[in-house]
Amino acid sequence: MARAEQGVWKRAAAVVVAAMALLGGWASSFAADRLTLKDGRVLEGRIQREEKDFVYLVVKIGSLEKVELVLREQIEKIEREAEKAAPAGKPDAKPSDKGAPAASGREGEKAKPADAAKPSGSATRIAFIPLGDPPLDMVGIYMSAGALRESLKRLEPESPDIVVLQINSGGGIADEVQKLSDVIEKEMKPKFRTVAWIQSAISAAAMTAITANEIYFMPKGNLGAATMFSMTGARQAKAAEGRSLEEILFVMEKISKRGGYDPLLMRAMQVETELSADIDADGAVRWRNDLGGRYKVSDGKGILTLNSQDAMRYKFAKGVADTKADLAKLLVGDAEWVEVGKSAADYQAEYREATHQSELTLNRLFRDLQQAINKAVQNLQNVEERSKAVGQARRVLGELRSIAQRSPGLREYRLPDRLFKGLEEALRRIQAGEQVDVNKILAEAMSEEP
Amino acid sequence: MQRFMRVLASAAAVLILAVAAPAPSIAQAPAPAGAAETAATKDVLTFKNGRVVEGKILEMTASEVKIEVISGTLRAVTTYPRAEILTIERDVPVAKPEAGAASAAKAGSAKAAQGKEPAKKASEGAAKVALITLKGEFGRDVSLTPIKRALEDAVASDPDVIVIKMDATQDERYGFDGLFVAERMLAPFEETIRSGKRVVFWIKRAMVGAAFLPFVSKEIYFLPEGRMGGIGTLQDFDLGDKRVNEKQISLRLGHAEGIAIQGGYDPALIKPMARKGGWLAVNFRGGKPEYMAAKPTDEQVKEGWIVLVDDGEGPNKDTDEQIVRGKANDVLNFDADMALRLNVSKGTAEDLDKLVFLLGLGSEHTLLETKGQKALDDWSKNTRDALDEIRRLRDRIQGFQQKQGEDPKTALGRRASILREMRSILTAYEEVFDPEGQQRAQIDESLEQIKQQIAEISKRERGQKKQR
Repeated sequence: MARAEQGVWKRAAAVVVAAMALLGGWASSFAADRLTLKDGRVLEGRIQREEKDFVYLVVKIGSLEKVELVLREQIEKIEREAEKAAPAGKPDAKPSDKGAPAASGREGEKAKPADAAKPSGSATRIAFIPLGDPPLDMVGIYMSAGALRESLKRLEPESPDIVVLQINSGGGIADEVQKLSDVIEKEMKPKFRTVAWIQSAISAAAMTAITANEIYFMPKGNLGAATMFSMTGARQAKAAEGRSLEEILFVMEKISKRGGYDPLLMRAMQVETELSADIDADGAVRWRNDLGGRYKVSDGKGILTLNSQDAMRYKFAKGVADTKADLAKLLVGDAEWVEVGKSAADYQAEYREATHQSELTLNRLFRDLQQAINKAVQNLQNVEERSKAVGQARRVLGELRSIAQRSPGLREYRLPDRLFKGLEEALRRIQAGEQVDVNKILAEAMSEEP
Repeated sequence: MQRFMRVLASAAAVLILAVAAPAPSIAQAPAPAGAAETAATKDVLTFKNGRVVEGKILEMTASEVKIEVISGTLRAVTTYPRAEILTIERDVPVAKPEAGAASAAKAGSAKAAQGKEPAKKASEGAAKVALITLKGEFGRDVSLTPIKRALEDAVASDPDVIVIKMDATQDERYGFDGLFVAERMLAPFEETIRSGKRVVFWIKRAMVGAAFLPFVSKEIYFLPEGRMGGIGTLQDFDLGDKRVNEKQISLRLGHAEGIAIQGGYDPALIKPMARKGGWLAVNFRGGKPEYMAAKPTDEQVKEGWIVLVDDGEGPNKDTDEQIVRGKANDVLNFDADMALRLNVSKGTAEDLDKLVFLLGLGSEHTLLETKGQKALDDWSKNTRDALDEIRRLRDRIQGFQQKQGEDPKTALGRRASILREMRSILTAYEEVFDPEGQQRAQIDESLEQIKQQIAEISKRERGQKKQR
């Protein structure tokens, strides 16, 4: 599309034109003057006042008259007392063809950038892939390397120049961080300029985001609080320590280097550590693991989360953008851009919803599975009943397998291959009339879950 | 003991001068009749969005224009960015208004705002105001679905401003985590604001989760009795591990600071609102507040630093009396005065007329009749009814018994029917009662169990028939 244009006056004009279209225009007898705008739109009404920089145009909507302000710089041509005012609905009066939505470039308006105008062949192609959408935002389950890879497949025919990962996640399973980072580092960065656009990137999502070539924030964005922990009971948690803490710090250090960030920053997001910074005259930020720097970033008592102001102050983020159009402006300046990759973006939403529905059925399926297996074990001497129960258990396993195939996240962390392998083995032995401890098999299989 | 009021007294002169000079509030101290009131000319600002503001320009810088807007006895000083202004006309001759016209319109619209009589039509050109009142329990009465409807309806009426009157609170047990309830409601406000509509929050009561919502707008005003806060609970967060607690607190602050930043507020205010145990002091330089997250030294107090929040330790701990009197300062809560001083509030208005005037929209307005408020009121009533119904159904399930002589399958069917009824209510109001679907998943599981039980009974019955 043509690059997103901004400006209050253009939005105002767009609203006027859209309203006119909706209300079916105004009486042609009223329309005496015609303003042709540079973007192709035509406004009709009565010029009430003209000044050096603007024109007041009185338009009539139904029985109401409304005065609208149009800037001179916006106007291509003024036709006064037009003999034949164009009736509403004429092609040249249609705002929705391209002008109105393109004027603001905002998300959620009538046209996406790609629809707004035909871009030239040289327009920068930008794909936006949303990762996480609370409450469906858990890293590993809803934001997974497998699902990201699937989106990338769908992107291939679109040949994007820039891929923006819109991250909105409260974190999740630490083991997924390395996998996601690998996809970004090895499969995305060599092909595309890869950008992380942060609405919220907490914990595992923060660790993932710093792999990107560049980080931008939304104004309300936040990134940090990466402390790894596990739940040990109801409202009881335990932070990683010892070897597992060392391991995650090592991973964070490695990923920090991939993104070009000082590991001290991510360390302050993991453990209570002093962190301060000095900023040179040339703007370069030098991090210190004490409070000796000019800017005290973390006092050593808490865990660091950056907001958008902090992220800009310390050059962690390259910019702050509220909308796709704002971000595109920061990414490509005044150059033309077009949004591509809708199917890759849609896939993430579909994947999250399918995974959510599957998660809701998992408890029931596990219970059914256990009941069927118990029944088979209780009927070891009754071949017919035993076979029937084993058959029922295998049907449930089939359902679980199909869920695992649809959802890489669930396959990785809820329905690992080793679980299916163990259960198949148990069912085979039960079918053969062997006495097995099914609970033990289940426990062993599930205890390997990360 | 470091108390806000004590330090305030010693620095009162500095504070009053510093705050009052750039933005005197009509709610606090009406300005004396000045030259502008009697002058035969006015200054006119024409904005790029077509809006026109008239008054007397007090000061112009490269980036801002400060203008005193006067209408009858009402006056207000507002500062506008130069970037939004298209033209500035100075000393334009003033035409004499018809006596009594403005005051009559004012009286009519004020009553309409209180809902006592239908809106009277103000004179042509009067500002069009859509008023949405968010009242009741935040997260239940005030919820995403009716808010979306109300905003869509308000936007469709093409108002000059949408005023969101907040009179909402939330169960205190939510504490700071009311934030996540508020976050679910932000999107329609953000979209409305992005679309170019002016959305103003007017605070009567915005407590617990409701305290976060107004930050979505750059314009917050207070009623004189307005209160905003009640989120100072993060120090109580406990998952049994200090580091995990700090992580959880940090991410929560990150979310809340983000909302504040998006609305143009200083994120430094969030932590003192959220967590006891830290200091916050303020100094006003050039009328703008500067914050320091530390106890000011005696020297700094002399320089004008004022303690807003102390550490709440030992003698600094708020007493019951201070809490009752609204003088507590272990965490930061806003009343109209504090909000104004710290630039959270742009002004204090006791009625809609005054608010509209403070908004720079003139001395009269037309209150638009929209269906959105009805959607909110209906939702409020329906969710209360739904809650009663859920409780009744829960009692029925807990006390469920098979009737004497009742067929077991019939009894199970009755139980399933109650569960299905409960499920349908949870679905209708899922954002209030079951946002993540967990309760419905449990019900589904129970229904599945009942289905299997019925199947087993049927099978047993068939076996018995065969045996007979």
